[in-house]
Amino acid sequence: MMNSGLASENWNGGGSPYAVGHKKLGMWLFLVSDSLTFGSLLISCMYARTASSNWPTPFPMWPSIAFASLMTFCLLTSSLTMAFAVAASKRGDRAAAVKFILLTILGGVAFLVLHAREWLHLIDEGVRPWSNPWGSPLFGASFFGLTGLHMFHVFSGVVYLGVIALGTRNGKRSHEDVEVCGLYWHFVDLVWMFIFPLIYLMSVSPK
Amino acid sequence: MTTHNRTYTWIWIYLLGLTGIELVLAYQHVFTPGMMMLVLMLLSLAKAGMIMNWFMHLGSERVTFVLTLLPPLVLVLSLMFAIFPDAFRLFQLGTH
Repeated sequence: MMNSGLASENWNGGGSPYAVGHKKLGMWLFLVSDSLTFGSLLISCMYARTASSNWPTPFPMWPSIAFASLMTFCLLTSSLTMAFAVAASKRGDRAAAVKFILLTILGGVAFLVLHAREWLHLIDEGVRPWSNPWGSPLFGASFFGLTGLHMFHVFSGVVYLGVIALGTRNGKRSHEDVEVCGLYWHFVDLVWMFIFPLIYLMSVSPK
Repeated sequence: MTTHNRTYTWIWIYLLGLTGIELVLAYQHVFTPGMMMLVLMLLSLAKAGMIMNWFMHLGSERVTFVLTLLPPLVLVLSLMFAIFPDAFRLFQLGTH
């Protein structure tokens, strides 16, 4: 015990350099590493596209791009309601926080349903991870890989939000939990801001 | 509505606006694919910056925290582009 007392005397400088809780720090570190996962997938998708002469452009403005835009709207709006939820939780208004988290979940579920519909439509048209009717077979792998990983993030986010909503209602979750959950949700929205233009808008079929 | 919520709503409107601009660019086929990719990436970076600064309130965290998180991320993502010129080389060799 004497040793540890000596240690704390000699090495007690610094304190907390970031002034954030361990949960927030942990979430940010996870998000940075997750950015690299999505970054590598997006960059390899761009690479494959640039290196091939027959990259498919299968998305007509109606219905594909219109639905993808609606999905973007759902995610952006759910980010807004999440920001409202964090603000309400900060004020200590737990009922409003739960209400806004539930609205966020609604946005996420709408996104998932619309995206599942899009997947089924493409599978119906003959797109597979290893082939498609239009050109470079890498298109399917890129599309399903990227959007699939993102969909999985949205799905996990919906579950995470559900847990936090329940905990907030019961008073078992603190404001920090809501805030950290918000960080994750905004990140999922942020990643879609790159997937939507790169996958969809770059592959709009010519008029 | 609190001041914060008003700010969030404005950010949401700006994000929707930028998405709208992207849609118009795609609909009109204004640019060549290479230029289009560049313009879309710049718009996306602007949107990502707005989301991080206001929604994820990174702007109100300590500068030390931001400097620990973002520069390494930018550096590693940039390094991933190191092999990108190969994509053009393969294409120009006519290996397809």
